[in-house]
Amino acid sequence: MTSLFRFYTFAAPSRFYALATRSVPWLYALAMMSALIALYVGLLLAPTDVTQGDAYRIIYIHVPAAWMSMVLYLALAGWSVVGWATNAKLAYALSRAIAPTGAAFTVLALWTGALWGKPTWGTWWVWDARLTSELILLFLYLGYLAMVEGADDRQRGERAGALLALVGVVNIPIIYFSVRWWNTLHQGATISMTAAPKMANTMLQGMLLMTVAFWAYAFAVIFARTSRLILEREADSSWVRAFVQSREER
Amino acid sequence: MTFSRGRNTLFSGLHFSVQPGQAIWLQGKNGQGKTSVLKLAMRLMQPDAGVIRWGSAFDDGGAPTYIGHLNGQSVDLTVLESLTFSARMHSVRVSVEAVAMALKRTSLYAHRNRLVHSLSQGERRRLALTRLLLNKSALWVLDEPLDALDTASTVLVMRLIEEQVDTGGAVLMSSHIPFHMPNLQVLSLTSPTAS
Amino acid sequence: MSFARFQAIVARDLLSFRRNPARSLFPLAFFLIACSLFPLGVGAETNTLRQIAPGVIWVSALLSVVSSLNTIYLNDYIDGSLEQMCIGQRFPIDVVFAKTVVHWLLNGCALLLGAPLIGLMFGMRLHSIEIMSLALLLGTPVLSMFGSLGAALTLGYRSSHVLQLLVILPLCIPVLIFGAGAVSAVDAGLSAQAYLSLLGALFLFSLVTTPIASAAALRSSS
Repeated sequence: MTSLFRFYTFAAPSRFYALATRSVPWLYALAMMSALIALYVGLLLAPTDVTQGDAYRIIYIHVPAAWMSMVLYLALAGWSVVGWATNAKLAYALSRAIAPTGAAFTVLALWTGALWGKPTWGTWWVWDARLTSELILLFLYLGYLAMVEGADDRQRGERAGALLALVGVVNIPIIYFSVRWWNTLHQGATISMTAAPKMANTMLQGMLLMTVAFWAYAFAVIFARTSRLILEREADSSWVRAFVQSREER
Repeated sequence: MTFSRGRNTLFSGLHFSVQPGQAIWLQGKNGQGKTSVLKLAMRLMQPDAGVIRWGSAFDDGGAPTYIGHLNGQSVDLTVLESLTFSARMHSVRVSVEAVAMALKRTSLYAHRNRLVHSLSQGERRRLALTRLLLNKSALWVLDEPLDALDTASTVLVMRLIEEQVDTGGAVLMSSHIPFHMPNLQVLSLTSPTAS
Repeated sequence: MSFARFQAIVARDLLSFRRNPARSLFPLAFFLIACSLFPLGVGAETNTLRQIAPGVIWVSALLSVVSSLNTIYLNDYIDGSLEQMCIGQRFPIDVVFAKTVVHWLLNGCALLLGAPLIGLMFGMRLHSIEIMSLALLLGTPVLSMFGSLGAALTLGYRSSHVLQLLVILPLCIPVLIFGAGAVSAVDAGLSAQAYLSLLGALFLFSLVTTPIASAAALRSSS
């Protein structure tokens, strides 16, 4: 019970701000370290693939980025639900903060996907089910960002965006299923991203380490962005004024 | 209740009730939130904190009649069609005679088959007021009811409001034009915290 | 949520349409023009056209339905009647249903008339045109329902037209895939039953989920 109570205390913007700003540097450090280890494992330790040669190593960025893009969308939708249910401003701020990072990971996944395709199959883009779904996910992120950032009334934009995120999350399985169906129909490419090289243990370790790095980075960036959003939003409140004053006195 | 628009808290701790036979005049300068109070009362918007309760008169699913800044009527309909639509939306049965009588009171009977599109601003406002007569709601919520009206219409509105109060109904309204009526209560929003 | 109110709103909107029918032909005209652009861009080789026909018709249908979404709520929002219709309800579902049905009647249905024409112009076989019409019959209501959601979410936004496209198109992709797929299957000699069933499932899914979301969006936009 006490842990639940402690969780709720962070729902107060000022306490969250304190927690977030203190954790950000540590999270960046963790991200840096994990990334370096992951790159060492992926680029140097893991064996060369039999069929694809060394070009496959882009997978160490592509797959974690794709995972992050999907998980972050789920997180965005989750916080949107919390926001609608409790009308907590912090929940909406978190959703808003997640969106740009999620979109960035999606772009990274798409870009690394293209980079993978060129040396392996000779084309810059492959219309396979996973990449196409990733592209649609990017559109969903962009739609959310457009709704929230393009609104004149911030509160209304957040609520509308939250609803859109919820609708998106519910529709994602349908979209993914329909894209897979479409892909098996139009037999253009027998190429598929799902035909990834057989995972040797070190390969899996490399990807997981990179995922940790991406997670830490995402947390850092999202916390930083949320803190900024909170400051902006609560600008008139007493704790922010006191905080600014103490900053000025330094 | 507490309500804010953007960064500004328009008011907080606002608390009042409208009883049958009461008329409340909401006062305040422009931008202080009079329209917001009326919209909150109509439950068209949610307050940041606080509760709006409608009395037992509306338990059967009826609602107060609201006339906001916008007249709330489609311009493609005729006067008659507009009124019957509004009555149906409020789940009120109106007879042809009742509609005719209401139109005669607001001097729109001659225009009953004209499209709202072709009416003047004042006439459209009078059409909105005709809705008050037809819907027979227990509570009227009016935002600047005297706006864009000529003297004769202004007198008519005041008389309608008096009648509503006399017959046990209630009126909640905002107006920057002075209003004179016996037993008129004034609620002022001149400071962010109103009692 | 009452049928009487639903009826009243539908009757009123159809009355508006009767008074100004020309306005409602724009989506059909757009559809026809958009379809005709493809042969001009791609070349009029018969086989190519027959192959791309289902895709072209569906994409143009999508764009045409989405570009007419402003008419669902915007006019009523501007003159205040939307506000009036939503009074007293936590979730104005009857308003959403009424508006969506009218939008489909005036837009989706119009497409059902124009699509066979385009099909003939693109050299589609009669059986393919039949299946396509059936697929459109099942799919265009779904487009209207998602469109209604997008329109409710973006009500009152500046440059809402483009925003609506951005928001709605990803959600409509499954309809596009199954709808065009149905016709392609028939062209290839296979049965379109699976696709039509999937379209039917999509129809039911959107029928159950989108109205309440649109109602919530309408509420938060007033």
